[in-house]
Amino acid sequence: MAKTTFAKTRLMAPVGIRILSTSQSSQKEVTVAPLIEQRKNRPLSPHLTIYQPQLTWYMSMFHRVTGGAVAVGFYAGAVGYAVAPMVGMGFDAAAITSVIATVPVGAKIAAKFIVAYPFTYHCLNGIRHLAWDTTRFMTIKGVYQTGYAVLGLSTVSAVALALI
Amino acid sequence: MALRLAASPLAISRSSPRIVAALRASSSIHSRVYFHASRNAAAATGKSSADVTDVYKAVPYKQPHINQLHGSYHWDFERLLSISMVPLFAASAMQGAHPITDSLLGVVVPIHCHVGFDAMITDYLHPGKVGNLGNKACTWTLRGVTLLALYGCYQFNATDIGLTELVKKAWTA
Repeated sequence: MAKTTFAKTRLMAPVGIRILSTSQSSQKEVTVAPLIEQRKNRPLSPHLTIYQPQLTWYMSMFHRVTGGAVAVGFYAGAVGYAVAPMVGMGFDAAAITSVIATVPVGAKIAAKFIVAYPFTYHCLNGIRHLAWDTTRFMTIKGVYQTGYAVLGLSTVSAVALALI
Repeated sequence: MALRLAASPLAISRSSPRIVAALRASSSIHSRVYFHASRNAAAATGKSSADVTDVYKAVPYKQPHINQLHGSYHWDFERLLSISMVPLFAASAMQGAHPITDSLLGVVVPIHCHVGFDAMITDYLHPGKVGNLGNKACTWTLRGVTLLALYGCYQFNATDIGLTELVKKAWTA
């Protein structure tokens, strides 16, 4: 019998040998597929839950989380405006502003704070990242000082924006 | 340790006389299953069962082709976009609606979002987790959605009041 992979894994394999069920033909896909299947059966070691909370990785995490949140909101608005005519939904600036005008003042201020805080945090932390890219503040002290500055400034500016 | 081949999922194929003959003609090692501690040990004994280790065949490492578009140029482009957003948002906040700042916002912000989402796909939806097909599907879906977002921003700036004016009106509604 020919010593091809097909012959060895399809015709001649006795029970007890795992037979590939994937039909991918490329070498790379064949080597990766069983590893992915195995990973699904294994538990994951704790990581975020056991690492000591530190300003460094908390702020890094929030940079990504706030960026993702603001971006999802922006995409939802832009894509919604793009496809609204096709689904017959009236989605334009006038409709948005008229809906917002009907909301009570307290809810409006709260909502504006909830929208502004991720935005200001991501903007100011982004500037902190750009400063690092010029090799500034690349010490423990620098990281922590700029980190607290970003936290303070973003909170203050978010409150200020919410009260406009 | 002879195993009952009748339990194999290949039972159907064995009704073919050609395959039955081939199985009978095969050497006796195919009626036993050998377990080895490592592939080196398996090679040393000269006996090994039907070869699932073909899956894990050692392939000589080929250094990936160096492409600065995927490397340092991509990084430069990311930082350029991010830096440009600082004066852009400042100008937009200070002077209000203007066709140039609005158009620039409608281009720079979606691309910045795209770069961020792409990084998240690379980190959390990589081929090792979702397969090559899953990773490619996510990447191309993201590209389609970004194109839609770019188109939506363009339409809004062209036919509606513009991004800066929208934020101003919605914020003070």
